[in-house]
Amino acid sequence: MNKLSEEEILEGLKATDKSKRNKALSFLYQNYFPGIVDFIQKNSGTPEDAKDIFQDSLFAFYTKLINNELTLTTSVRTFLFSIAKNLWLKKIRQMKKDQKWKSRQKPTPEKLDSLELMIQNEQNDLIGFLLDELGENCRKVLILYYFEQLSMNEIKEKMGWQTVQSAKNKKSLCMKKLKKTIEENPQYRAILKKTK
Amino acid sequence: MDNMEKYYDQMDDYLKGNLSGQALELFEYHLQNNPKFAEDLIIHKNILRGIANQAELDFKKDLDLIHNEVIQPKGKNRKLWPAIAIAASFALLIGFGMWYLSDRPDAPKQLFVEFYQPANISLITRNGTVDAQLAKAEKFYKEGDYAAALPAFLQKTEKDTNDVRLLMAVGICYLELGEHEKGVGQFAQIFNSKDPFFSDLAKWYTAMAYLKKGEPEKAKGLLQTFANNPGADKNKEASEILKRLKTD
Repeated sequence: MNKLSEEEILEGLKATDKSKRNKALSFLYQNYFPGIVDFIQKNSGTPEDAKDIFQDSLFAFYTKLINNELTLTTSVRTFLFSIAKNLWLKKIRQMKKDQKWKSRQKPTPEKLDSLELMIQNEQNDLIGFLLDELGENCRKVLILYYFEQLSMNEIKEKMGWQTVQSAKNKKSLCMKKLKKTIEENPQYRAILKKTK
Repeated sequence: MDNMEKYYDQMDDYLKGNLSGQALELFEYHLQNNPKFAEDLIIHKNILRGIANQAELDFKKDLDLIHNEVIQPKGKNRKLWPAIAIAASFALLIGFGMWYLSDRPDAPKQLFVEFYQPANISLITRNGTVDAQLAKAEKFYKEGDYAAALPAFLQKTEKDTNDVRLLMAVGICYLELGEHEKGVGQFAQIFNSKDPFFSDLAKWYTAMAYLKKGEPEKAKGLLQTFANNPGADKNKEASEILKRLKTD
């Protein structure tokens, strides 16, 4: 694979064309993943841990980039490595804490955090399921608008729709439908009760 | 734009912290006085989190494909025999290598990886007070962000050159950042410390720095002082390293 400059990496990741984004991701994988594996293996982790940490780091980097929250004062490599290092050290600390609290019966702040996390995961899974039920177009348009932060014009282009207005209408309709199905879903109501 | 769309946009703005002034006041008034509105906001927040979660799953699906392509190349059309032949050649090479290396001393850098751990240093409570700058630097140090920790530590050592913990922290940062000479210089200042714990620690990390630099002869003398003292904290480790460097 040809070498990409820092600008080309960032432009590739921000591109609405998925093949350009994946090209930038392949470059990052090929060039920076081995260093992360090396670091994690030297710090009591496995190659599988390295894969998870690297993918979490790439996602965190990507999310910051598309939300315009990224201020790069170092190279992409140093930045990614620093995210990965911090995530791994956090994970190690968490594993140690888990072991420490394992034998105790009283609820601890850590246990309460993980309970909240479990409820959140349950909610996320349910919303994911209901989003799938709405159909591929709805799923895509909501992700493109709310997560990827694309403009209505970019969404129109990407989805192959005729006008910006039709993209807006579709997004609005999908959100209404999703909200209605969630409100009416008994499983969602049951999850909400757990949080009260 | 219909009313429902405006309603969602306003919730987005609120959750992103983009509402201000009168709009924010009005939003918060509704939030406190209208339970249905408050519930809608919770649902909206959960939906956004659910969408972000789906986006993460999609992103990671793509990454898995890239991982398999880039890191573990597989292909339906790939002929197996060349792969087996290559694997067999590697097995032979590894076998020969292991036989050849089994009777050879370990590489110093390999020993460094095996025996080196950054020192646990606690600086927060000094003279019964909490120094905010040091607390921040120590946090970076514990998170492994040595580049961020070093400038704050250095600034403090300028004011307090006698604090061995600070000197040690600077030395470790240098070592972690690959500036071994500077690390060794830092540890040398602690060699004659009145505190034998820190004096020994400085010698140990100097030996580590020499192993990392690939200069085992310089490390051996220091390691020998630990190996000769059965009561020393690093006695076993030093003896093991010396054995593997084939000193005898």
